[in-house]
Amino acid sequence: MFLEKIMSQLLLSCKEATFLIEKKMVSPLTFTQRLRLGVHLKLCKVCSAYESQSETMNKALEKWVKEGALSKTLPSKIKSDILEKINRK
Amino acid sequence: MEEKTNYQSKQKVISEWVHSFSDYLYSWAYHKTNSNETAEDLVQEVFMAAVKNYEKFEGRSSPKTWLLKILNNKIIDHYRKSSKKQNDQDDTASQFTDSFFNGADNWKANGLEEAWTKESHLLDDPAFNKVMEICIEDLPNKWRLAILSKYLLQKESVEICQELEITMSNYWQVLHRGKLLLKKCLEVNWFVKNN
Repeated sequence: MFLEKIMSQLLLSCKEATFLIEKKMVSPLTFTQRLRLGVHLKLCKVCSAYESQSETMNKALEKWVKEGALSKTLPSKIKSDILEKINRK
Repeated sequence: MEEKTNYQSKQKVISEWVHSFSDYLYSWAYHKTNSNETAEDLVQEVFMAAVKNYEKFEGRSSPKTWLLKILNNKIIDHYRKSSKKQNDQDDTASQFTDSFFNGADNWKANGLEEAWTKESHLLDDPAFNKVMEICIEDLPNKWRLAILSKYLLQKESVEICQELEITMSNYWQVLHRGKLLLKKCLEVNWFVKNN
């Protein structure tokens, strides 16, 4: 409990740390942010685990994009409706 | 006479586009709206708009890009109409992700950390990828859109912010919360069951 209090005063909370982990993937962190995140990750097993979980999710998202995210088929009834409207005009 | 030929060729060209691109546009619209019916309506509207504005298409971009641009504008309109509902949805989801942390904003540990690392071939498992897909569909609209634009379209952050009408720090927050929700959903629907 005492440790937790010190952590919250001096260091990042897990919520802030996971935020920076996500930010890092799209934008560079500031020097202080990098430092604080580095320290937090050294101390916090759950956030270290989160970082690799997040990478797993990125890979799963990339895989989902590659294999099938855009492979839905417009029902043929709708397709023929559209064709009819286009050619009726 | 010449005008008629032009018109016929325009109809012919757009009909070909329907054959070539309607599935792509439909998939895209579906992922952005999470509704089959809305996606069907939007794709119809796109091709009607293409007929109407065909003269403005000068072949500077590919037809696919042009149609996608029309679709994206229609999707944005669609969201403007439903933005109140969307804000409520965002609030509920934010409260939910906040509940993963304790009063000091540190993790409420759930003991599933090991389960994540156990399966080295996780991503080769079609059942896992199916769960992943369901979890993506479950995300609140804005969060799903941000994640989709990033992964599906490989869009730059600045562009995504413009499209969603959010600031950059908002965007980081959206990605953060979206990820937290995905993690939770995967844990509940996969790791707990397979642990």
